[in-house]
Amino acid sequence: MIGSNLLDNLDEKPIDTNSTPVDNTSPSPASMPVIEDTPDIDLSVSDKSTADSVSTFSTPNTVKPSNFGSMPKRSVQSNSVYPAVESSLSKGTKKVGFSSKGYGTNSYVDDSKSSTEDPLAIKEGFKMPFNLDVTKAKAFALNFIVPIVSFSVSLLLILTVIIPSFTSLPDLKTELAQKQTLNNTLSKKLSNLERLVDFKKIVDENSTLINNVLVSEEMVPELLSQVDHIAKESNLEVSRLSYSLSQAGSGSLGYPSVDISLGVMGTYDQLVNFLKLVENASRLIDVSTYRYTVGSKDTTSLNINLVLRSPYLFVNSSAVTDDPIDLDVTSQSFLNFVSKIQGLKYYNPNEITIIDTIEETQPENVDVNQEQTIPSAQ
Amino acid sequence: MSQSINLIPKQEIEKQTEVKVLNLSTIISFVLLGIVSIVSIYLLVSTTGIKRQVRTLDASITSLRSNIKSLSSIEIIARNLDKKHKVLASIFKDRSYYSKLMDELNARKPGGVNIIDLNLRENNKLNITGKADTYILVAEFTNTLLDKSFANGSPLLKDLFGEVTLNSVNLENKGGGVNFSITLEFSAQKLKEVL
Repeated sequence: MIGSNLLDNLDEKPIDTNSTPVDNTSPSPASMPVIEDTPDIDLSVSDKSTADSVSTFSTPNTVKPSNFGSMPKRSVQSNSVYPAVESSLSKGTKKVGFSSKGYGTNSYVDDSKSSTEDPLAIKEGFKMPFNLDVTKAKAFALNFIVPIVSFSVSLLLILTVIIPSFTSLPDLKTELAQKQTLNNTLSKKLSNLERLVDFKKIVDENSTLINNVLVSEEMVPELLSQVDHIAKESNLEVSRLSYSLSQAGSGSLGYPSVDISLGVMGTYDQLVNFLKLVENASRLIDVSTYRYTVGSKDTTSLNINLVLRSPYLFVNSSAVTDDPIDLDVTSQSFLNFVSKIQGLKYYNPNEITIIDTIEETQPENVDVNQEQTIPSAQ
Repeated sequence: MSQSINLIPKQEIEKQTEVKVLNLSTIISFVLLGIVSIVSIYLLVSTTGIKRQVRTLDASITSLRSNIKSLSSIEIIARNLDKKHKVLASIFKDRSYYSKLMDELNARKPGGVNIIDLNLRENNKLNITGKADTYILVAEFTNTLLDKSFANGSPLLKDLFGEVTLNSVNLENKGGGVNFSITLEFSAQKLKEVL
């Protein structure tokens, strides 16, 4: 051990060995000698062999014993954290100068030059911060092997686990949320469908009812026959009847419609009765506008022009597995709706005379304020 | 002049510093490794748990889709019914029942006032041309239309008419009487029916 050599040399010097040994791992500043008004002490190494052995820890043999009196005598033992490293390194041609403390690679000893080289030069060479030395680097790495490995493992975990996980975690959470939503939607849909299967008879009945109110096709002859029938039921005399096709509603709730221009003659009460029957007819007929004027001869007889609108809608839905079904045939609002359309009067096209002699007019011709010359269906 | 000299060799100081650095770096590295390990474990557990949940949900979704597809016929019926139901509901919601308007107008019309021409316009206005026996009857007619406490009308339609504009009043020389023309605004909302 290089450090042992140093301490052996120190033992040969006239140092007060009666001084109390101190723990060399943590020397207390309080135990250090304090010299007052003492000139600069030359701490250079005069003993060549000592300088060769340890280049950095220079013990001057010219130091007066009185000045060194308080220096503790060191016990010859290695306190190296990694003694194995220390011993292995000391076997090479390039020796790492471990001191008795056994830490670090502060001293570098080249056997081939140590006998002739100035210790100061070695010292200065040691101080060079960028003096790349493989052995020194190895020694440093071995001394700091635990923190280096620990830092490396940490870095490895950060690179292989933390960063990829942080990157993928939001996407995974989003995917999980979407899957949960889809799962809930499908669960609810399946539940609704199973309920609809249980109420299939009611669903079919409701479908028929709604198809009577909102037919799938224009069915113009049937519609005109229904209007004519209602007019007659109200004791109105139909003088004009024509139709056109148009579009009503907006967006997803848009629907095509048949617009009917109707001219009738009758009394005020008959008009009101006609309006009530139209409002309660099973096939939906809306009154857009109307106008009446008193007849020239009889003040109770009115010439009435109405524009009626009857929507129709063809739906051909397809089964879209992932789309929910909002229909709940057992909900109160749906039951109220069904109850309302059940109260409408259904005019069976097979039981009333179908009018098939009416020509279609252009939509712009449908105006209650215009005098129409289209003859009555009768 | 007093001066303190630390006789601890420089190499010894450096070694002590090195030991401190080694200890400190070891502690820091262990702390860092501990934190990183904990975070890594947490993230691994989290991601693994989420992936497991996703796999479970995928299996559930596949099963649900299979069950739903087996009910596609009832689904088509339900969709058709639902579409028509929604369209009809919107139509009924916006539908005006003009028979109510005619009933209320007739109820508020005094005897001695005859409506010669009534034109329902699309902007919720009625143009009425008529003939009354006297000016007073015309005034009574317009006042009655706006009377919210009118007893003979429908209680639900007391606010039906909002504004009456008297466009013209002319005294007819032949046969007496007064010709008048008014524009009457009404609330279409009052004519709707709530399902």
